[in-house]
Amino acid sequence: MRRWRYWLAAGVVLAFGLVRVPLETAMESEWQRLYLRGPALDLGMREEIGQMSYVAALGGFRSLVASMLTLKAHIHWENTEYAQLGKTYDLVLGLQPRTASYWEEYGWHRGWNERSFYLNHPEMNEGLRRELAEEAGEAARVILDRGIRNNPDEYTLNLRQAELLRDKLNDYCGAAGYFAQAAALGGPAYARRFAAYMLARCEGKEEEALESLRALYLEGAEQRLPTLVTELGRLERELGVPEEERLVDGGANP
Amino acid sequence: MGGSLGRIWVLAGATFTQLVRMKTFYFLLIFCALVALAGSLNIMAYNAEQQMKLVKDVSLGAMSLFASIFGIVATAMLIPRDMEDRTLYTILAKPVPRVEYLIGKLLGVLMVIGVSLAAMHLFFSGVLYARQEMLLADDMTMMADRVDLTEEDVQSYAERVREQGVTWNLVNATGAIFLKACVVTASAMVISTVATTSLFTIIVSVLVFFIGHVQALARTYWVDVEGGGVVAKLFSALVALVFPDYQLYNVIDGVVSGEWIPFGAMLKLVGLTAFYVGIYTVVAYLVFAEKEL
Repeated sequence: MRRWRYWLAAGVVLAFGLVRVPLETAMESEWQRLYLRGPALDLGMREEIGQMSYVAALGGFRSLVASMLTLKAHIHWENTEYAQLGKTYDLVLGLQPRTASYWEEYGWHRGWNERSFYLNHPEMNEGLRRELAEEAGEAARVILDRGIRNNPDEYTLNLRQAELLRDKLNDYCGAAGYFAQAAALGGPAYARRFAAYMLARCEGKEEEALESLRALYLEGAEQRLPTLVTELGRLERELGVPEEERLVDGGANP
Repeated sequence: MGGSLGRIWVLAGATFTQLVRMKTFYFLLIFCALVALAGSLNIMAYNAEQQMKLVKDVSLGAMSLFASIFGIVATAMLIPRDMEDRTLYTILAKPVPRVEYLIGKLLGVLMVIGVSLAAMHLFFSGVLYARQEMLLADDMTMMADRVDLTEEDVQSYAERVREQGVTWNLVNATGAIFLKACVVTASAMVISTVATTSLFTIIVSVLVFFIGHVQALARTYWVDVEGGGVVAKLFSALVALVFPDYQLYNVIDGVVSGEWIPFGAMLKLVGLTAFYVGIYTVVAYLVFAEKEL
């Protein structure tokens, strides 16, 4: 075979490379913008997930590796191995930060399961139990916030954060903001009501809460659920709304 | 031109039949078992979205693996096998240009991959749909008792779950797998025209496959990073220019997470693939045209 054909073939490959490199660079940027391409894999991850999984993740099986790791995390949870569970979820989220359900699940494990595990631990003293439970709750808050930053269009993460703040961390002002954000992102109808309920419990925000509750009440019968009516009545009384202007048991009731 | 296309078609058909006789479709049975298993796993802590994600991960992962491995192995085996069976000499003794032989072989392999992926896609969509409806029915029963949820909330939830189930976006994902397989197969064809054994072709093609998945790192280093050693820059430039970027085809991770592939993005992927396959066919022809057989 004539040698020049080999040289010509090599020349074609290189020339083709010169043409396609700018195209591929542009496509890569577009894929990142469309979230079709995950973040670059951290080399340190290789030691954590093992050589084979790392190669698999590099070879286009990132999502599958993440799914398998969540199964592993599930086993850690069953065995109440929360340190390992945390490490495993860090890997999962490094692989797939745009899967909101992973953030949700990790937040739930830390904020609910791990927190309760410490609070009910029979071999720890009261102080340590409370400290560790507080740490777990705080960790869940940070995780869900990171999840929200990575998935700003997902209302479910805002709902989970609001529930954590309301049920575990007693931060009603914060919860009101997250419920309102969930509602703004197309979340369920109850998110708006809960935003108003949380505001009603937030010190200094009573006036704002009253406005929100009144607006909801005036929307119609479907919003007049027992909690809403009770909260509105309480605020109207506490804020000294004149009886003729009150919506609950007052003159302004339509 | 018509005669040329006809000859290519006959060669592609013969290659297709040859591969089918090698019982390649048996892989489909393993695939079905795998998908059925993923579809029947019931992990209590997983919500509907996560359960369906698992089915999609396993199915699309297996499809991607099959398409790439098959593209490499089948292409590596075909030319040496044709030489061994003396079929190659019979074909080339007739007025069949070598480029038509190469295109016919490539098309035959791609047809088998295409048919297999289509069959796998149909089966996996069926399993996913069944799973989706089953999980949805369970969740709906639970939601019916909740007074805080309106009819609109329930419908919105059902819509969210369905978005994670069977959608047209899965067709895009399967399409991207097929396009990647086209490039893998075409690059294996180039290697097989240089190689003298199937084993060499398989080993080198697998290496190209792995390097192709980190090509973007080399490209970024070459194009975007300022400074750095001359040798490192030259090496990364060579990797970027010679090896294909397979990461661009790995959109299935995004699809599984619920990201939508716009039509324009798919078109770009199709265009890039046509570009790759066209150039690789030219390169394979340049090497194969006067190769002593």
